[in-house]
Amino acid sequence: MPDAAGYHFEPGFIAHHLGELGSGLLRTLAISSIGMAGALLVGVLLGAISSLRIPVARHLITVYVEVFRNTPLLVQIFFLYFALPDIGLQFEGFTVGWLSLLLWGGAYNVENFRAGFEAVEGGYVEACRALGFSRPAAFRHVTLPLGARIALPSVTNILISVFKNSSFMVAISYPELTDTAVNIVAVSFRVFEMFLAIGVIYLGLVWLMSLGAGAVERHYAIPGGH
Amino acid sequence: MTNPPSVDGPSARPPADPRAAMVELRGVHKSYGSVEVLKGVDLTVARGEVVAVIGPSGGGKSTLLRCVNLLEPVSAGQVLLEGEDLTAAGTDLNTVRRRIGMVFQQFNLFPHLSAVDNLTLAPRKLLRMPKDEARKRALALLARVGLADKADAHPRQLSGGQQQRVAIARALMMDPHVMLFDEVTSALDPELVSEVLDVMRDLARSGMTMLCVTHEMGFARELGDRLVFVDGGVIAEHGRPADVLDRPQNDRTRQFLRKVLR
Repeated sequence: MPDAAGYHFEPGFIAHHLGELGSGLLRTLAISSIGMAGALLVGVLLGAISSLRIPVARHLITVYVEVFRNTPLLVQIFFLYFALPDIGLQFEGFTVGWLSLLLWGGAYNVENFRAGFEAVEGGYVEACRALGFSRPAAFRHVTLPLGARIALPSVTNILISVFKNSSFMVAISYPELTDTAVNIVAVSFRVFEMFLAIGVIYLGLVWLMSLGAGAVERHYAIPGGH
Repeated sequence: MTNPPSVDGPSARPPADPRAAMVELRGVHKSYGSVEVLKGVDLTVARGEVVAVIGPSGGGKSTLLRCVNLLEPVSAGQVLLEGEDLTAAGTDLNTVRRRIGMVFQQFNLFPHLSAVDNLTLAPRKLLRMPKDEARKRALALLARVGLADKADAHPRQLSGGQQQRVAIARALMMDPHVMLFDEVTSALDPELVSEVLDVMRDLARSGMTMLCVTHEMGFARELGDRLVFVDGGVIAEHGRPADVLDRPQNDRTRQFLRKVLR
């Protein structure tokens, strides 16, 4: 496929580097799955504390959320990787990878879950308390399942962003998928092939995740619900 | 709850025992900030008694009801259940509330759970009742309110009247000693009101102690042992339903009844 610059598209080049791309992909999957699971857990736990208006803890959570939502992810990654060693906290690329994604996604999910929990109609909790459930038990049996359903679409968006943002680790040369492609390009100049290849891989995986999220939403849809 | 539904008139109901107070409110005050909603309410509901609470909106009747299970903490005064002071320090309200069933205007069924799961949640989690036993009891209660075939339906798949009947059954699962009804037919389409009142009639005849905030004057007259008129945060008048409804002594009662009985 020659173009004006006399460029030849060589799909075989991609096939030749599949092994390297595969290990890069595995690292991408490793840091993003830990980051996604953590962001989910942090979101539910801190979102619950926040919505239950537990003093002190609630304000500390607000500080965390504000810091991580109002600074660029790239700066957060640099801070963890380059700045923390100055105060004696040295993390390797893998750790910074999942930890930065977890902290970033967690901050957004705290807000998603808090908003979901607070959107649950008070009458359901009241009915639960009238039956004799304690406040925490009513949260667990009513607010959590109903609020999580409300939060689900926005939580899904953040988790997909966590996965896509794993490519930011190129900034600390952690050899995940994007960094691997960049390194191959640096020695081969096969820019088009490499970025097409990883673009397709990211697209395919995000598409799969969206399908999965849709299935989860349908499974938990409230029968007869609006 | 073990009594079979009676087919006789209201007189077939076991007589209220005036010596045994089920619920007692003593000088109950309730304020929200500077707004005083209840200004000293004294009310005794005897075991087996059916008390209808009527009055204009904003008069405090729903607040009064919600003070009985302390869903609204009282600002002053005492609330007693079977002689036990619920307002005393150290009272475990979660345990106390198992003895007080409550039904709400908006039903408040848990929308993510089927009808039968709405019924079994509390006995299973709070009383550690085995799943099979809880389900068996739930199905029996759903049959009693005429909804045996809706056990696996979810609340939003049911009509308002059906939802309210499930909500009554849910409250009965805990074998409450007293039932509180908070305008339970007010959110229903007119043609669905009677199916809910039928269930309440059945319950009243089985000897259940009931405190009902209601706009159904016919129901109050038929089943109420006593009628309480609440206005301005106080009980302005009370007595036998027929007396209060036909010969109100209080001006405000007269005004209210003129509006609602047109």
